[in-house]
Amino acid sequence: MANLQNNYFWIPVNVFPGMFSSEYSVELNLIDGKKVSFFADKSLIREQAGNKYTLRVVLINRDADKNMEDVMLPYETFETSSRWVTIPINK
Amino acid sequence: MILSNTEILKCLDRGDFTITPHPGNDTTKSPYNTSAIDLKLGNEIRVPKAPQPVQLDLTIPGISNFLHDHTELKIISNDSPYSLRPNKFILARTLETVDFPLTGKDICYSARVEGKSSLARCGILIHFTAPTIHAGFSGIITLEIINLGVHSFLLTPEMFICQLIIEEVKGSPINSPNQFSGQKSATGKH
Repeated sequence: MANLQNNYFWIPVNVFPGMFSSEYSVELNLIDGKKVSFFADKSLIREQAGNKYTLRVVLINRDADKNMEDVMLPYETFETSSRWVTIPINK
Repeated sequence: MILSNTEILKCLDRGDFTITPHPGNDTTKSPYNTSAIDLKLGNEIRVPKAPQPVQLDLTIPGISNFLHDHTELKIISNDSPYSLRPNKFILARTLETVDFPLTGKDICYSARVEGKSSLARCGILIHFTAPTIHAGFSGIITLEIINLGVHSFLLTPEMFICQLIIEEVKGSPINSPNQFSGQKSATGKH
């Protein structure tokens, strides 16, 4: 049985002030170059050095040859109305 | 299968999901109901600014920032509640934080946030069309509140504002082989 806690990992995102104090407005780049946005609870976001931020997602699949990952976001995006997205692998 | 009050407490004790602050151990008292648990209103609401000649297009990036820029945050208190006038819409949040983790077990949990009959009698909707708290959700629940009544309605922090109906999700969502079925791109739109 898969332990999905092990599927949680962190991807780089851009964050902006959210509508409420406990959330960020989050922007994410997809593999096709499009940007999507959504609101995410601050507990799912880590601040890294250099004023950079990462978001906790569930890794579904990774294809290193194509430099892409399928991940499940914690919330659906406004632009796609979906939680499933494909993003470039963060090297 | 909808969880009863006693099953909700058992799940909380096992850590199958969490509601913070913990609702207590007496399932015969509020906030427990027989097949739901009541949640309270937090102290932050978001009020739309004056209408502008803008047409929302969700396919254009930056909607979340747009919504932030075109609404105003208000902090409510018992001394300064918010009067929601008829036909007005605001966003609000629950006081509680909930977490429905994906564990990889055969059963996980999701929930639906629903209104309360007492508020409904006054014409208050606390959500419309988006009640689902998916398995894997973690955070504070955002409420879309509108007053369809004829009287203004006071929103006070920690008032019982909605109820959470919790359900078992059979099967691990991530193990589903069809999760990308029908999608040809990352966005599922092409």
